Amino acid sequence: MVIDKREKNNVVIFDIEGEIRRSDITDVTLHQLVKNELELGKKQILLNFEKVDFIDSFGVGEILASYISTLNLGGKLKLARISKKLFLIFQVTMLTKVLDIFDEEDLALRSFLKE
Amino acid sequence: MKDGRAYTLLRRFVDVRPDESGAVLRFTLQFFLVMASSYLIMPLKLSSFLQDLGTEKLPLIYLLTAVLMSVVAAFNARLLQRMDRRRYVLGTQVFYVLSLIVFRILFLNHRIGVTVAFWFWSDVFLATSVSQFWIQAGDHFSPRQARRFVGFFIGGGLLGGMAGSLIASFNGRFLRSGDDLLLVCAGLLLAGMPLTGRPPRKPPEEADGAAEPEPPRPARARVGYLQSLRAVLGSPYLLLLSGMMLSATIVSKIIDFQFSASLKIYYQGDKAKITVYVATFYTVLLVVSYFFNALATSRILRRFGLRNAISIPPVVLALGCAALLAVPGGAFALLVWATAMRGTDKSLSHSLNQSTRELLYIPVPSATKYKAKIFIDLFIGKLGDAVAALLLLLYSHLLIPQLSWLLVAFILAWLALNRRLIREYAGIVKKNLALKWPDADKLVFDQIDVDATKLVFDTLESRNRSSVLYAMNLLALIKKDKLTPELKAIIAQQSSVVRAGGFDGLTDAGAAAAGADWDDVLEDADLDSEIREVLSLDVYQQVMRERVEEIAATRGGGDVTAQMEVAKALGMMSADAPLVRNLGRLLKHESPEVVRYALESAGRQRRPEFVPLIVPRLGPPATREAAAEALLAYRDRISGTLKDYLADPDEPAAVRNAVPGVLARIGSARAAGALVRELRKRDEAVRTAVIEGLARFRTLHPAAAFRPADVEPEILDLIKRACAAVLEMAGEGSGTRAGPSAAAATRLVRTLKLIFELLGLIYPQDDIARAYQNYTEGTKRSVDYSLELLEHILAKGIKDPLLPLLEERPLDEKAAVCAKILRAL
Repeated sequence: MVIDKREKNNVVIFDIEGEIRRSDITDVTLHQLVKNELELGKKQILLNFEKVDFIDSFGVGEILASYISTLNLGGKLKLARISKKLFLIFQVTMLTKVLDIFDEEDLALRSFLKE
Repeated sequence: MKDGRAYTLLRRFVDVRPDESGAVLRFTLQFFLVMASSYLIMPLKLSSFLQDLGTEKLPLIYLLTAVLMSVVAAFNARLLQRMDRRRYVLGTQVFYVLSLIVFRILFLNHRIGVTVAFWFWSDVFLATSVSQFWIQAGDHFSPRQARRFVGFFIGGGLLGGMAGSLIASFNGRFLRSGDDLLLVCAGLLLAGMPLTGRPPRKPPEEADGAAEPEPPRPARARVGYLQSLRAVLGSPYLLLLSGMMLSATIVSKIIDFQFSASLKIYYQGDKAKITVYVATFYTVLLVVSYFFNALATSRILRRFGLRNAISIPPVVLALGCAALLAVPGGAFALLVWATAMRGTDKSLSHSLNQSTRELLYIPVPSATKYKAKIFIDLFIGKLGDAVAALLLLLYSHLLIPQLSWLLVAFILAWLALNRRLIREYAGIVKKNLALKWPDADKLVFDQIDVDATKLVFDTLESRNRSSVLYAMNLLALIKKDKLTPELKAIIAQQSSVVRAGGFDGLTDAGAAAAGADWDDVLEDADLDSEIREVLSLDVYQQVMRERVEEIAATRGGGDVTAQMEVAKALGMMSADAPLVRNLGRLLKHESPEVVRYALESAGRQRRPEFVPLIVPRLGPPATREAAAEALLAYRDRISGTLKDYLADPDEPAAVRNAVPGVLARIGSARAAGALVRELRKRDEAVRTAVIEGLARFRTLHPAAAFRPADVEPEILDLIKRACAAVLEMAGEGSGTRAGPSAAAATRLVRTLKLIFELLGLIYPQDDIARAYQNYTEGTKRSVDYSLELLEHILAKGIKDPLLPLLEERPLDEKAAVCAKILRAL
């Protein structure tokens, strides 16, 4: 898994690439990266999953842990371009009721602006 | 005679219904004439033979007759197949009348050939005329009716026999020649012709009573001796019947020989003394047979049933053989013993044996019966004579008492065949009883996947309500492997709705995810496990806690859809997940829709603390089935708790009455025990539900065995209740004469249903179902067959009070019977 960071309109965007799975843990996890940004005062986080081929429950756990951390600090974490399968998983687990999910990055960024 | 007058006359002698009296009288008179003719012929046949050929030729004529009879049987079978039954009977009658006249003319010039021909003709006449009578009776009456009438017919026949014997014994006084008896016989047959050959009077609706309707007979089918033989060989029942008759005939012939030989020894061949002894013997025999038949046959049949009555003759004869051990030596003692044996054999043969034999034919399908009966009567009887004659030749070196070992061997064979025959009899009766409708529980259990069907409905129902619920249900369908091509088509059509619906609710854009290839995603084998893993994550529980608790806390109103979604999702989590405790709140929700999803999830989680919340949901119809399903998921460990609810009078009646159905589906020994305990308490508030639950238990778990000691007292109690209802209908129980009470009639119908349901616990349930369905919905004939089946399978303690209650009778007669049953119980 490779995670690149960029910033746009004061929103930290993490471009994730590859597979997010328990057996492929990197030295720095997604949650850790998000926490680092939060500690730096960046409270608007967007996770871009466009190049993610696979994500398992560990990966979902990373997303949810990031979500809690962001929320606890008064921030906002949003998701963009998730796969159909992940969307279905979120739907069945009712996470779609909690998480902000967008088809496109632009739409997500616009929603940050509105807030 | 009009039916009303015939009924008044007959009911003094026989258990007859008003609509049966005409036919009973006609058949009795017919059999009287048949037997009178036969007893006119018999002495003439024997005296002619002895005069012209002597006793030493008797074994040869036995053998010759046996061979020729097989030819006659073949010819007869062809006639039966080619001719209309009525024409066949009338045709043979005309043939007998004409041939009697011809023999009278031929006897003017005595020739040995004529005597042999007359012997043979007599045997054909004796066998066919009696057979024809019983075939007609079998066509006209059901087994149940026949059981009531057969003794009466035989009584009429014995009186006819006595009349024939008396005419024969006085022939020298009133007739110019003994041969004129042939003309008297022809006259009797002519007198009987208007009574014979009438087609059976069956109501048109009876056609639907038979489980196996007989195929239409081809007009010119060429069915002969071989086909008749095949009909017998092709039916295990007819084969056993033939074997039984063969054994009985051989036994009878050996006894006859022992009797004749004893006579010869004692009287040292003095023809005049032997004639006097034999004449006296026959007179006493017919009188004894008549009174035995009149006083004992019907009672024995009623008291012991066909099953036991059939074995009385061989058992009595076996005891007779054993008695020989106690007989002192000497010709006189031997003659006394042989006379007693011959008398016992013949009198039983004329009465009980004949009754049981004819009853055994009645349930055989009509077409087969016609093919087989005359064949068996003609051929097997004579084959028995021939086998006995050959055995006697083979063992001619044995002394008369030693021949009893042969007797014992054939009596044992007779008994063994009886035993197997009676087992087959129930199957033959059952073939006359169609199962009119399948058991609903069994049908649903066997053929319908209720869970999957419900899921399909839930899926379709949820598609317009909630994309989350829809996705959940869809996934559950896939997991159950119930995603048929038809459903897939629906899914393909609706998948965009799912997607769009999901996004619509969360984003402003309302855009859809690119690509619509949802099939691949839905069919991903790992999807279900991945979802469960997510649901088990601590972080997931943490993220969702606030939202789930907020949704679950709203008992009325609120977002019902969200509550349904939560209720469904909680069922997908592991049982120890913290969020699952919220199911308790949802189980108490006011909305049946929410409760239904919560019940489904509670069934998945099977946590003990949910049980007190699930059980009350058995009460309302909207949640009853879901609650039952949830409780079923707990399996046998819930049986004890359900037993307590069932027994608690403080629990709502609706809940208590739903519990037996759940226990029935659990199907464990503890569940059965709980139901039986409650049954024995006779708690009126739940009695019907408990009995229906027990019946359902047996349907769903056919291997379950219930103890008759637990069930029979309850059946007897219900019989008492049914009798009380009959008395009330007749205006006796209530002390009023206001006529039939509709409430009592309804109570009677319901009570009878419960009785049959209880019977199904301790007897083959399929048999009881056939009997019940044909009793309640069948024609008069199938009602009779139902009762016959019950007669055959029920224990005496049950059938004695039950069958008279079920028998069709006028209400006043039924009330009298019920009063008697109540006194006896």
